[in-house]
Amino acid sequence: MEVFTQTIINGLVLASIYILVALGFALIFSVMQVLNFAHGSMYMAGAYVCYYWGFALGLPPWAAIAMSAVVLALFGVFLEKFCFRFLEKNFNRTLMFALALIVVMQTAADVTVGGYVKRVPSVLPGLTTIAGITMSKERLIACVIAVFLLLAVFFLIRKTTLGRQMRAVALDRDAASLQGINAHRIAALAFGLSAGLAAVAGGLMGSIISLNTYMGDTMLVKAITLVIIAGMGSIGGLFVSGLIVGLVDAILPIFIGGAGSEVVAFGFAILILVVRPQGLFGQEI
Amino acid sequence: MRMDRMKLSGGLLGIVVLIVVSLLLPSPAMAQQKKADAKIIKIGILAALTGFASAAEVHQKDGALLAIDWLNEKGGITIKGQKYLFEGVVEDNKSTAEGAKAAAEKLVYDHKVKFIAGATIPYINIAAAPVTEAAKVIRALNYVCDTPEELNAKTRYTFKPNPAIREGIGPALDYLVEKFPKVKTIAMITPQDGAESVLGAICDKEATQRGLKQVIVVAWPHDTADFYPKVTQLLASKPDAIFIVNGYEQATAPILKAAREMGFKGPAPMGNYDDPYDIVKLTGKDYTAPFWTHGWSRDVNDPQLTPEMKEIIKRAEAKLGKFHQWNFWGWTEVWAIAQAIEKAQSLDTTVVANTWRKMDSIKTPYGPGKMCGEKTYGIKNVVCSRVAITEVLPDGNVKHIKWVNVNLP
Repeated sequence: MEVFTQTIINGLVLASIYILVALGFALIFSVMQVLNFAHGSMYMAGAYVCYYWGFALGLPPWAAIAMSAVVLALFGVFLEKFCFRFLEKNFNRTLMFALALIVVMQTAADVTVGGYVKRVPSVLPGLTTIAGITMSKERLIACVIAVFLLLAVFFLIRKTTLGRQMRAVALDRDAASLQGINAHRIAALAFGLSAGLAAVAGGLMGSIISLNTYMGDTMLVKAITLVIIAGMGSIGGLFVSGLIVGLVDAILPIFIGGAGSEVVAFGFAILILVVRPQGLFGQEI
Repeated sequence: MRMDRMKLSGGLLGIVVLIVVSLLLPSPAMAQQKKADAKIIKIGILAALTGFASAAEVHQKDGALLAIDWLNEKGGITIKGQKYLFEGVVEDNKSTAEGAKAAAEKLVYDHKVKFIAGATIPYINIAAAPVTEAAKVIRALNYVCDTPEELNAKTRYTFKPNPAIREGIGPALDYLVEKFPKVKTIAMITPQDGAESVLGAICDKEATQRGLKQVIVVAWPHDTADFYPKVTQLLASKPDAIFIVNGYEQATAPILKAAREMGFKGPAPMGNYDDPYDIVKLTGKDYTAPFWTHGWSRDVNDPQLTPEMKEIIKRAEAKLGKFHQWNFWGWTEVWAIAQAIEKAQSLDTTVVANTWRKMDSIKTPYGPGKMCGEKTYGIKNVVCSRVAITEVLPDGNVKHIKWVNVNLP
């Protein structure tokens, strides 16, 4: 029973981190029509920035995570304003730029900080017992923080003016502009928000696992898988697809070896693409 | 008149003495000339500078370059009266088989090296082997995971100067039995890199010889981020001890941490060479012990560390700002290659390889070594020296416990 409960909680932790990352990826695609393949590198950079805020400057872990989110958000705004904005009409160039950005960010990290083992200090170290079941506090708090952020973003998108503007730009950029919405400003804010979310996810996971400069690659693949299953443009659907993939990743490796759980998750995504290309919750293409 | 002649003679003598002395004194120009007289032996360094293995192999590369500096400072080696200095040429194997093949080809065909130091992961070593063996290039591996393709009777130019997994399993289990006599069952966890079935069988045999039962072997893919599911699988078999065989700190630490968070309090020895300080840093001092590894202490005041190890630690700290224990690995490879070349008094790699196999003794940072492995690998291309038992104490401090001599038949 304890093992089962721990596994489910672990699945929820993984799901919440995956959703945080995928949400940013989906947001950029919705608002800017850009497949930002460098999003995994934002997650990685966020983890490393968090580490340095925490260790080099001695900030408490929660402050380090918050500061890394701010730094990466500003970086995201910079990228949109000075890079992606000039490429937005050309899908191929945007794609190439994103791929080049991955190489630049990973190599920069390798050259500067990559060689030595690091882990983000834990927000809440130690173990706790709930209903007789021992759990890691840092995993629990990671789940709580991620869920809180997800709900906050969901509220932002659904209930605020900014969120409505984002949805308007995502639906029809030109029409939104005609309504007086500054589409570039919205895109920059979306990019910043997306990068900030990835940074928080990186900081939270960086305390659970150790850092490495390639940790973003796996997370990018998870984000894409979630978006495919949920459907492009379906922010709410990410919650369901995140739960599916998170629980698969937490449960299946216990029973099957190798990359079996990856096969199941990818297989499901392929099935969705074949049977329902718009995703479980997306709009018809 | 006579006084004048004496003064003139004295003056002339003085001038002659001055000229002779100045000719005998080494001048900077002469030193430059001496170095210019020395020829260069290029040593290729096949290391992962990118990809998941870079976290370890970058330090192997650094260690190899430190050894090259050290050898050159000592004047290099002499072959048939001709001085030779060393030069390192680094190529990135990108932590992939394709990258390893491409890097090996660049080293062999572009840089024309005849001696290579590196690498570690089985599929990387296996990918590079056809290139280096065909070109008769001597390669000193970081590590061998005992898959038959890495080292066998046909790999005549491939050597293993560092202790690796097979040497580590027995001593780790011996210490387990010594310190925890009540332990009866072990659960093994190892990377899924092609060596897991071989290592599982070796571990099973070594465990049985010591009265232990291996209840499960769990293999994890190299891109595993979260080890909770794998550790859940491991602990489901309810072992008395977890045996972490192979891997690296970024994996060992989360495995250990997950096990402790799931309530496992038993011993978790390692049959590998992970850095104990990094393990404590990543896992947390409350979660590590009881744990031991064949990684090494960094305490330069510890009399059990060899002078060479202390020299490497000091040099790394001076030149690189920080020591990493994989510096030992790269250093050992280059030093072994240099010793073999000098012993052979030849740059012909076939002569060097044959000589190396027959060397009665060879120096390593860990202590004196000898060539071995004929029965184990089908070829006597392995340097057997000794492995350290280094324990992490309950307070998080690291202590060198003892050296264990190893021999592979």
